[in-house]
Amino acid sequence: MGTLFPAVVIFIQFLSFFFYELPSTPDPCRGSGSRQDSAGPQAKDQLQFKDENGGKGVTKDGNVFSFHTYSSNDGVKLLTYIERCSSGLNAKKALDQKIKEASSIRARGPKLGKDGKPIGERVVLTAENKAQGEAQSESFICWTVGSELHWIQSRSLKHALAFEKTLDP
Amino acid sequence: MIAEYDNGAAVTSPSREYIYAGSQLVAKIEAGATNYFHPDHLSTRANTDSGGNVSRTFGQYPFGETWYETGTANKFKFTTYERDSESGNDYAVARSYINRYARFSSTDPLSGSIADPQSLNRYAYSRNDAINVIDPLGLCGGGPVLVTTRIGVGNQPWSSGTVFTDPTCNGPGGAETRIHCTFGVTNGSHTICNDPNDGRWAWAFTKAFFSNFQLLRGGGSEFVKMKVLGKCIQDLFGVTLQQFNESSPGHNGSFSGWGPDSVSNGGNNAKISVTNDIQTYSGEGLKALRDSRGNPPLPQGTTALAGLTLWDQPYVNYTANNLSQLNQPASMAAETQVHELGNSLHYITGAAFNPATVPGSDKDTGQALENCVRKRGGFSKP
Repeated sequence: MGTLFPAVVIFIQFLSFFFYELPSTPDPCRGSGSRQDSAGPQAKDQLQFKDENGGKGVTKDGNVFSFHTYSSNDGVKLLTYIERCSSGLNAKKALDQKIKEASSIRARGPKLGKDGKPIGERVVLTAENKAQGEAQSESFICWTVGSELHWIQSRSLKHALAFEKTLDP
Repeated sequence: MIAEYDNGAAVTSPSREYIYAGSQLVAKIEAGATNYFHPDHLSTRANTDSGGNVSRTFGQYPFGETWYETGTANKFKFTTYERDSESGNDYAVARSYINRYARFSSTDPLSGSIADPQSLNRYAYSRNDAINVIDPLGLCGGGPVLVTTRIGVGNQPWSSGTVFTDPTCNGPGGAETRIHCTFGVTNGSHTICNDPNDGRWAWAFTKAFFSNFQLLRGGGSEFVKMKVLGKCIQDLFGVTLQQFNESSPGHNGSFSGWGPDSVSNGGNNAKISVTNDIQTYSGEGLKALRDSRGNPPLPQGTTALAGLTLWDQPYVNYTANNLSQLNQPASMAAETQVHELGNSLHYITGAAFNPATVPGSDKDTGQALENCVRKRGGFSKP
């Protein structure tokens, strides 16, 4: 039994990798993704993300936003987005608007801080993005922190989730 | 000095008059006779009279001691300094220079920088590089310091005020010079030479910038407090700020600092220079530039960007040239410049954020620098 228990744990972790996209992922703040430019050894099967460009802009509502575009080592692009709203209430409203535009909600709950306490709301959703002509399904992991609305956007939820886990390693 | 009067000389009859071309002494008129000065890059090597005859020759040892002097002696010997006949020392305006010791008699009023160890010896003459650099005002001993960013009031070019310049005093990078302001020279209610420490000094403008400064159009008072920006850049990227010039409509901004450069210098410390281009692209153009790289779409309704930095061009980042159309405060250009500087420094240094200094999940590099400066009160209102 003493040697069987670690093996079971490893097997469960192995399975969880393949079921990563499930919305019921228990702890969104732990995982295997990592940024290419972060320190530490990288396993071969880990997703790595390269920061390719960043900038800022202004929404149609007049809020300033910041963004970065990443490319994974297997060629999937991601967008990180931070919108600075005028208040926490308005950040919540902006998140609600994002939810309204969603074609499906895959998970919804509190956004947890490093200490495990709620610091905002977190929603995993899918939306059709028509910004470049034909509609494309994009996955979003959205959350609020204070007066800021954050999201990670990608055509692959798996990659978005993996990236999210690099934010609070 | 433009004139000297001996005891009893009439106000309208100076004993000697000095003629300059810029800061360079070219002639002296005394008793109706004109004497011309012929310098090399350091000191006057020969003097001639109006007939073209050589009246004096002068040579020196590296740090200013006289090697030879023939003909009619002149008190202007080493570089532009006037030698005191009693002490043998040179008058260097801000200080006295002891040529036989190759040292100033007192410290440089400006402190040095730990990023530039040579500058920490504040008695040294011209960073001990006496054959390449001169120091007309006795102010070259120190290293680069934080710098003011702008000369200009509103949308009008600044054109008056008292600014003393030292255009031949090169900093360690060879491109900087400094401007000496007397207690934050002001034009109306605006301080045009604003020092982060005591308001007296501002330097590290480039020579080109300085030579054109009267034509520079500024956006008003400074928006970015250098001390705060320097602290944030050090905390986030391990880079020491040397110079920061704010962007303003029609004029690109610039940054230079000292820190790890993983793009051009294998991660070793080097001088890092970043230009903020505010002229080339409109907000729509920046969005098109980003979209051309096959990136995920930005939120619907986003038609323009305020700023953009590309990982493969980190030494130049962009601010939109039509920010005024975004209905944002006048400080938007400076805030965007700081934001994109954060992105550039991230790409250049390869810095992984220190969890101790970057809160929570906020790892957007531009946003992190902008937030740091904002939270520490580093953006001033116009």
